[in-house]
This record gives sequence, structure tokens and C-alpha cells, in this order.
Amino acid sequence: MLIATSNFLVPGPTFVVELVIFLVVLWTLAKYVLPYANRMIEARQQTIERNLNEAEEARARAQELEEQRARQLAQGREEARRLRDEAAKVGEQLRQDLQRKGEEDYQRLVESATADIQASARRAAEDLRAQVSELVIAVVERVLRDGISVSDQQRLVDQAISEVEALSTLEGVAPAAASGAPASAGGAGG
Amino acid sequence: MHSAGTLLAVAIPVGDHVKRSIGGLTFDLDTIWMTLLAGAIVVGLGLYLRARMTASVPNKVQVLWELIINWVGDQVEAGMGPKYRRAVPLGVTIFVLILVCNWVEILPGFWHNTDYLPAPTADANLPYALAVTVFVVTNVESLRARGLWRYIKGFFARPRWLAPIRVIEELMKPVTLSLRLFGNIFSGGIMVALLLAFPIYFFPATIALSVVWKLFDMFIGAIQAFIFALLTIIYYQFAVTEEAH
Repeated sequence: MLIATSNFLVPGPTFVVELVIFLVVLWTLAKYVLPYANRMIEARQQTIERNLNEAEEARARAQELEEQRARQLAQGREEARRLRDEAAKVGEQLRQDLQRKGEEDYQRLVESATADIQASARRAAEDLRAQVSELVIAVVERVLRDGISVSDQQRLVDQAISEVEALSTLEGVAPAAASGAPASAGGAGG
Repeated sequence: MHSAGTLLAVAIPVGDHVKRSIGGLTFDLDTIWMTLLAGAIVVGLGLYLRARMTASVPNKVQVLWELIINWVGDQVEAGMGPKYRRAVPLGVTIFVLILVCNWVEILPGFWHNTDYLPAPTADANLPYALAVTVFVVTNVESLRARGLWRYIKGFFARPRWLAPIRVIEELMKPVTLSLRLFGNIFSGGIMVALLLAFPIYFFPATIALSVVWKLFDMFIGAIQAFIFALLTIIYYQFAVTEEAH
């Protein structure tokens, strides 16, 4: 059986002590603990908020940089394309210039070579003429001095004629050999 | 002879306390020292919080405190707005003190009220003290918020014939508030006493059931602390925001 020594639902003097203890605890927490706790919680919330804001700023900045990078990349590509086109144009120009210049040089060289050859040929012909003249004069002088026989005359005339022929043959050789012709003719005549 | 009736027919002292008469007044000493112990734990945890509090990474005690403070703060601000943040210390203190009072009973005694550490909330005096404080604070706040005339008029709102009911309702708030807490914790203690009063040959079952019940009692202790604190905030809110009771 349950034994109740007194009616424990009726508040007694203990009530006052309990009330005092409770109020002391309430006062202590309200004065010395909760304000600090609230301040700390607020500080943390501010920190979190600040961190979030910073993260948001960093994200925006990163996006801005990314856009800037993309823009610069596009500009770079455009620039590269422009330079390539320009280079191609310049290269084509250069190629044409060089070609033209090469053709001109070639033309000039050909003309100059032709002129040289003609000059050489002319000089060779002149040399030949001079040598033939000298030869004829020498033959004539020898004939007049020695009084040679008919057979000797004939032989000399033949010799002179063959020399002249040899020179004439040389003169008819390709212009490239023209410069060498007078020397060999001169050698034969000497 | 060993019917269930006789098994349970054991002498369990109910509402018995360690009493001491001082100047003609009788005090329940066990309730008082246990309340002092619980209060010391609460204040100690509070001062520990204050000493070790940090805005960066909090320790476990701080996390627990902040959980409670934030919960009470959210309830208060949601119901009454930031103006009434002054209600937060009352709610927090009530919750934490009741929780610790309910939980100091965790070591079971061999019969009721001589628990090694009996819950002071199992003595009606502490719940009364808490409920009376809530009653006084909420009514003072109601008077401050509305003025005397509108405070009185609130009881006589239409339909006027409900006025006596409204007065009784207001007066019953502290009674239900305190007796709900007292009854739950008190009966938890009686349950332990009954379980431990089983005859010796029930020994293993007695131990097992006591452990299970004690764990459940801890749960009840937390729920009751929660309900008391929540109702305190709700009564506070009614007092300052509602036109009629």
C-alpha cells in the first residue's frame, strides 16, 4: 500500500527556498551567462555572414576574371588571325616582288651576257683581222726579201691560206669560245 | 500467497522527505540540497560556457548551450518579435534547470525518495515555484503591454459569459504547468521504487526493467523540461500579443 505521511501536494516552506534558488539561478544566467553567449552567437553569425559575403565576392571576381580571360582569348585569336592574314598577304607580296626581281635579274644577266658575248666576238674579229693583216704583211715581207722559188711561194701562200682558214674556222666557233680564239690564232701566227 | 496483489503490497513511502524543522517551519532538506546541486550544475555549466566561449569552433558544452539558447530565442522571436528577447533567459533557465533536476535522479535508490539523488522536481514545491514565477512574469508583462484597463477588459471579451472561464483558465495555467511536471517525475520515481520492491527471485528482471525504465525516465525528464519551457514561452506570447484570453 502507498503511504502518504502528509499531503505532499500542499506547498510548504520549502516552496520559498525553491523559489529563491530558482530566481538566483535565473539571475545568474541572465546577468552573467546569456548576454555573453548571445554576443558570441551574434559574432559567429556575423563571421559566417562575412565569410559568405567574401565567398560571394570571390565568386563574382572569379567570374569576372573568367569573362575577362575569355575576352582576351577571343581578342588574341582575332589578333592571331589578323597577323596570319597579314603575313600571308605580305608573303604573297614578297613572293611576287622576288619573282619579279628574279625575272628582272635574269633578264639583266641575259642581256649583259649577250652584250659581253657580242663585245667579245667583236673584239675577236678585230683581233683576227689584225693578225691576218700582220701575217699577210709578214709573208709579203719574206717573199720580197728572200726571192723564193715558185714552189716555196706556193707553199707559203698555201700555209697563209690554211692559217687564215684556221682562224676563220675559229672565228666561226660559238661565241663562248671567242675569247680564246685570238690567243690560239696569235700562237699559231707567232 | 504469492499473488500479484501481495507481491506489490510493499511499504513504499510516498511524498516522504528528509525533513528538518527550523523556527517552526518544516523544510524538505533532500529537495533543497538536490535543487542546490542542480542549480550549481546549471550555474557551473553557464560559467564554464562564459569562460570557454569562443566565436570560432565551440566545445560540446557551448554547442549544447547554443542549441538551447537558439531554440528558445527562435521560439520567442517567432511568437513575439525581437522586442521580447528579454523572455529568453526565463525560458532557457527553466528548460536547463528542469532538465538537470530531472536527470540528477539517474542513480536509483532502493526505495522512493531515498534515491541517492532524488529529483527535486518530484517534490511539488519546485514546480510550484517555477510555475508561480511564470504566472507572475506573464501577468506583469501582460499588464505592461496592455495597461490595467485592457488587461481586465481582456477577460470580459465577447462572449462575456465566458469571463469566469477565462479567469479560471488563467489561474489554472500555473497549476497544470506545475502538476504536469511534478506528476511525471514523481510517478517515474514511484515506478522505480515498485520495480525495486520486487521479491529477490525476480532479481535479473528487476535490474533489467529498472535500467529500461530509468532510460525511459530520462527521456520523460527531457520531454517535460521541453514542455514546461515551451508552455512558458507560449503563455508569455499569449500575455503580450493576444487581445483576448
